Amino acid sequence: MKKKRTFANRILEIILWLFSIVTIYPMLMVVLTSFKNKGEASYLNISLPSEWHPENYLAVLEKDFVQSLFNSVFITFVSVLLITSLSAFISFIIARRDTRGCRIAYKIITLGIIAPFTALPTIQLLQKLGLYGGRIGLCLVYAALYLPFTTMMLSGFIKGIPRELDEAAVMDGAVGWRLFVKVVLPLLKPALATTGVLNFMWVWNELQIPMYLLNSSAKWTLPLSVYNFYGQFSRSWNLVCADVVLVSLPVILVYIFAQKWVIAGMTAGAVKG
Amino acid sequence: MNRKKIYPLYMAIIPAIVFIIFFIIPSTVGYYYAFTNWSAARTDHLKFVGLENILSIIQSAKVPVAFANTLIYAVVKTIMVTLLGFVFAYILNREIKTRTALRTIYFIPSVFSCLVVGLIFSAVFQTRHGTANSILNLLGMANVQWLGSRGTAVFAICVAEVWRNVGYAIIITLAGMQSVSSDYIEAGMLDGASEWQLFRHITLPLIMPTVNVNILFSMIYGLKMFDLIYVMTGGGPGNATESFGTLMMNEMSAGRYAQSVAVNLVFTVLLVIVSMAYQKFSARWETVE
Repeated sequence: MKKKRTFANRILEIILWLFSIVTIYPMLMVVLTSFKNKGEASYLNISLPSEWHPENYLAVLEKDFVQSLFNSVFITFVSVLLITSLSAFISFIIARRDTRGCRIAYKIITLGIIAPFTALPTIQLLQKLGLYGGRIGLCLVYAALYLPFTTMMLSGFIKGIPRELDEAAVMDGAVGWRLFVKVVLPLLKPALATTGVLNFMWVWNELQIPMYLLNSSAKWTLPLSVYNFYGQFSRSWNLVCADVVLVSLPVILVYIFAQKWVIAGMTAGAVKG
Repeated sequence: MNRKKIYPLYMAIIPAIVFIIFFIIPSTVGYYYAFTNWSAARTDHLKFVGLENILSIIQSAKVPVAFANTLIYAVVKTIMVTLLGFVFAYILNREIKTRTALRTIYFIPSVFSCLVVGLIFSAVFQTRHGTANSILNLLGMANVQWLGSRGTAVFAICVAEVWRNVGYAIIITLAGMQSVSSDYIEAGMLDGASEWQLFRHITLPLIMPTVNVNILFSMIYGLKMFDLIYVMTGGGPGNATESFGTLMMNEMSAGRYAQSVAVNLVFTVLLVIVSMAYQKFSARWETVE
């Protein structure tokens, strides 16, 4: 019986490896194509390049890549900071105060996970506030858009922190901000890391919102510049693939080095019941 | 000391202001524009036109097509991703030596942006030398213009979306399966339950809450799909593969601002209805909040 099971597991393992080709093949194709010359690249297969052309990457880097990289880093950093801190404050109050008003506010906030981005009214609003087209306006919109999901996760974590810990600190005279910093914040660090990594990936990868809200190419994020690059060079698959590799490197690196947090974050929202 | 003093409301003021200004106001008051004659040509002295825009976009067949496509994308993605996620997670949950490596490989596509996945699959489904057509040629079949007609283009977009999301479903379902205590399984085995019975009566009921949340999020994000379609077909040919997300963008690019907001409004109503229906349907969602 036991032996039969092990045998079945070996077979299933082999099947899973065969299936993984579906995942690996397109990625391998992109990486190899990025080193080919234009003619060979148009064949879009996984044969090795007859000549390696690392200079494809230089050609991509020359095309505003550095400026877009800076924009992406700046926008992602500020947005994630805003999303995480604002969500942490509001989660703390909602989870701990736990009044009727707080529960209603929580319901309204979670509706924000469902509702779609309202593009034109947001543009109009940003124009009235004088923030349209700028990076800061985009960061504030991100903060509002991603606050619901982060608040849902963080308030769940905060509810898991025993209230007795708060009471002990309150005895020592710590309320409000001091209570938050002294008691809740240290225990919330793992949760902040997971939501931070998740928000980083979402903001970094976002195409639709910056497409609506950034008006000049000098402020474009990486996905926007890659999209535009594809529009111009859609026949040069070698350059497009090099661009794809470059824009994916940061998230791949974060995934490799923060795998624990990425997976924890992605599952924490779902695995609880 | 009472709770209201210990947890003062002013700590929540800045987050609340940001959320109200940049989310609540555009998503409520902002829909006023759907009922005006706002366009690229007319940006001030807007006139209230009632339901005219909503009726016109519904009658123009753009919204019905986008409606059908959006549902197809979301439903196909959700069903395929949930099923595949289930099967792969179930296998990975057995005693498999290379589990970590397999899990890592299957998950990688989930970290890519939709833009990148869209570009990869534009290559896969390209007519000349694309991977899909190379496979067809190997089987002795002629090239197909995958992104050239509605049926095949919608199929291609669904394939790309499923490719990106299977790993995520595997990870979540696997985490759910691993959280099932082995005591239950052992007790079941002592009672002489078969593998199928163990799965049907122990594992499945215990991971259903996880699967339900997973399905809900998969639906919501599936309905909101934009990047992938925009990169692969731009909503074309014509409006054939348009989702609500791309229709909003294309209406705006065409200068039909009020119509774009009207599409947005119809879309919001659809999303709210779908998620409320699903939450009613799966009452277990409550335990997760």
